[in-house]
Amino acid sequence: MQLLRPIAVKEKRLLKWLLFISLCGVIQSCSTLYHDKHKIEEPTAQKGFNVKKYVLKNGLTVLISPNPKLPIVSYYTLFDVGGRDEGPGTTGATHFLEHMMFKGAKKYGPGQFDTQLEKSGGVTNAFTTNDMTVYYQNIPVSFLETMVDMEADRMQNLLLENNSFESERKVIFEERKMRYENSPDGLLFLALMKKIFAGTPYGQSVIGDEADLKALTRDQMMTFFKNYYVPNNAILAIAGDVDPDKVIELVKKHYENIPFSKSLSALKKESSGLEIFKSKVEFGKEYKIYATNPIPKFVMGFQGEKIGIKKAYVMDILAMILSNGGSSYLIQKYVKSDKALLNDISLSNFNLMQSGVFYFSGEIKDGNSLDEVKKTIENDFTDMCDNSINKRSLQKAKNQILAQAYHQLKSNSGIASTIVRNEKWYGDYNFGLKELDIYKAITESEVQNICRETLVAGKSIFISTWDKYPKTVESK
Amino acid sequence: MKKVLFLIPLLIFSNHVFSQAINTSSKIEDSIKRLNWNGVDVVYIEDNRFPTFDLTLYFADGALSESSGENGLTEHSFSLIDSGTDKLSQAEILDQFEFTGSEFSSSVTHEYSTISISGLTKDMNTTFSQACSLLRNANYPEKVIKKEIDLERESLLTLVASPQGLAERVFREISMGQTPYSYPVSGKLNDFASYTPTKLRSKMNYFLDKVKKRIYLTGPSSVLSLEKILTKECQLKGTSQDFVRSMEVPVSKTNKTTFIFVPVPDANQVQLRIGRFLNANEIQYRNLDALASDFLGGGFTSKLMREVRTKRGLTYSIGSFIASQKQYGRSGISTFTKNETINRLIEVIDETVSKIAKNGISKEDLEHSSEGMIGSYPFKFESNSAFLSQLLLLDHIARPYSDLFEFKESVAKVTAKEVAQRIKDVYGFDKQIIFVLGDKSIESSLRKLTKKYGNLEVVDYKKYL
Repeated sequence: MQLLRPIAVKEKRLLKWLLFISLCGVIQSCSTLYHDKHKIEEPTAQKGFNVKKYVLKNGLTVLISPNPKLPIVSYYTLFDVGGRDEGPGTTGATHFLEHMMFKGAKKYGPGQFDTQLEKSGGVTNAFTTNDMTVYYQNIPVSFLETMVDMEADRMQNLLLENNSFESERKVIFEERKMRYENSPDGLLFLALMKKIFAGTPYGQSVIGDEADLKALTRDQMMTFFKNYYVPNNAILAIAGDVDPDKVIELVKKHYENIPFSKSLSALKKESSGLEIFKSKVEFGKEYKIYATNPIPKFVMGFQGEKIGIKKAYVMDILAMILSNGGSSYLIQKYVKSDKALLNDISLSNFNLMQSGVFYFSGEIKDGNSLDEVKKTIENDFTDMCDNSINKRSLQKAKNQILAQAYHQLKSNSGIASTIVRNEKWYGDYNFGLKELDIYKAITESEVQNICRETLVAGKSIFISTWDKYPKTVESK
Repeated sequence: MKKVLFLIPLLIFSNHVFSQAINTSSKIEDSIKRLNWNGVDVVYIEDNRFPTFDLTLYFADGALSESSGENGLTEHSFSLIDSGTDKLSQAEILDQFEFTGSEFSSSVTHEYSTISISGLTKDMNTTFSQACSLLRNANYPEKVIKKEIDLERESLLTLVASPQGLAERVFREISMGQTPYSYPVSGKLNDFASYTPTKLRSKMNYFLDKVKKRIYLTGPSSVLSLEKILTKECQLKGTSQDFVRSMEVPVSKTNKTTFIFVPVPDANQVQLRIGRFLNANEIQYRNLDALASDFLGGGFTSKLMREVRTKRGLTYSIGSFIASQKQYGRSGISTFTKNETINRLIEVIDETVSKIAKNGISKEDLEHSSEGMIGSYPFKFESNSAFLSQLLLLDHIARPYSDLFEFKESVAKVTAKEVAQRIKDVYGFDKQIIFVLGDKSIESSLRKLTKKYGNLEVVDYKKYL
């Protein structure tokens, strides 16, 4: 069994993840779905995904998707809180809290959550990003009632016991070392986020700065928990062998009495707004960071877009055309050509709720100079935009998006994760279908224009790691 | 392509309509169809939920087919199959597959090899015609091979920056000892120069024409029309003379602890692997092995996870495994910690295993694992391609499919005494390779453990690249 939990923010380079990040948009947070009129929304028979949606009187949104193929269920709980909600000096609090959510609540005390779940045959994990925290389980349907009870228990009665708090702090330092300090790719990603989103909440490290993690107290975390782990800040998605009418009664029984937060909206206002996310990035600058890679690696970051706007979708297509697969422009020209300069190159479109970054990452081929590689890529932008985007490459990108979408929908967890994210990003679990129409409608000239606007006319920052650089504070 | 874009909404509307209620083992078993295409066995599971297909072509031989001077040739004859043909360049081949979103991949183990192809059924015929053309006509152009090998070389040379990847590679070879299975299937730096177009083509021909093959297929019934393409264009055929790899391997005796340190520069985290080679006579009880390794290091509530992470915060993750093929296996415990706590980590693992060996495990503890494994049983079938992978492995090791369908009953019969004994036999510290990869500075600290685990052997990782 691969142990992944808990996971800090990930570099979204995998195509699948990139697709579903950008498959979703909309700035509307799930808290805006909250109805304080104390009535239950009737499920609507919407077309698209076979899902019934309910909003409980405390604002908890519940999505249920029946699939009777096997007696199993996937259970996703999304909280609309991420690294962006942490104030100065408390970086890593969201992710640390995610760890602590497995350490015991009032009814299911320390060790009980994992023990009961794994004894049933289920598996569980969670992840934290800049914008959200997601908990998920794959369980036999026979365990569903206990699962609902356990999730509701920890949503309202988390213990944050001192012993496990300190023990888990050590675990997080190990995770930090594994993902970032001992990984040149991890260091590059942290540096990219820090520089491109300088002075904004997105510039903070989701796993947390070392000093902040050391200083974080149980009381600070409890306040954070009480502020954000409230039903009107959560979305639940259950997919599998279930009858929605029965399951919603179960969910209501366990969740409906959890009080909603009256102060959530005010709190969210504090951490939102254009000014807060206005980056102080210094485009044109270069940064060199010591890491253990014997051949230089780099990222070149451009201004990206936030989730859900048309330009973000076009940038998805652009990234796919330029770097997805061995036949793509960048791989053919820089990795597989007779005069290859690089061992690897990729282009990623990372859209967040309030902003984004569009970036190249690569590793140079031994013997080539990093400066030369940088110049060559920059001088190639015009050609790249003029010659790589054509009818065939555009259609290829669209076909690849479709193939990925099918793959995602083959499992209960794929369906649950898709609808829960769509609901958060768009307030519409079905938005994935509309997105396919958006992708379908994108034209060659739109992609070319965005390519020129972003790469030819745009400015970038350039960050590299190498074991020949002097060791500085940047490397930690 | 417009047609495809309209398919998605239809698919999602109808997801529940096409769902098949497969709730009992007998029904699951009934869903497997066995066919014969030109002498080649076909294992097929019909799946009408999606207009997609997954096919795996199995070959009953692997890297063990290589003679002296051929190390890594098999893996490269498979992985470089897209390097070019007389008619198409590598770029054109890649473009053809990628245009439809189809996936083409290969895998080579010591004992067997596979090629897997998946995609949308509407592009199925085109995809397989392309695949057949590669299988039969790939000519491995020298220029392309050189470039690909150069990339591989640089990837190996930079592995030092990826401590986990480096630890996996070096530990595997060391822990497999002097057996035929220790050499990496992908070869080493010194082997790369020997991969010529002629040798690569000849190796692929051997697999296509001499080795026993089997097809594992899932998708709607329309995928059965692939028979024609696979038998005509790929020219797949099977006969009773087809070769099946089998080795006469002398029993390898492991009766002492070996303590190894691999220094790497500037690491503030240490990789730890503990494990050993398992002889054919040690891998007869697969369900017992699954239960024993799950109990020791599977999941968040395993014995090791509780002792190492939950109680002491020594690591972020720890896992154990017992993996077996047809004629050999290997066991392992895999974890990491900060430089300062490596000795403690090794001792805690040792204490945990020793305690189980000495005191056994309680019935309640066993039930936690066995009930968990039984409860997770339906997940084995959620993805048909994963289901087929399990059938492929059973066929490869010559076990009946009933092993899979009687899994629950088999696991329920295992006793606590048997699990404790198995953990002692497999993971007992008296016969393990204790493998540490980390910063040079930890060597002196590790030497404090030599009284317990024997001399510390310092190994240069470059030997294993």
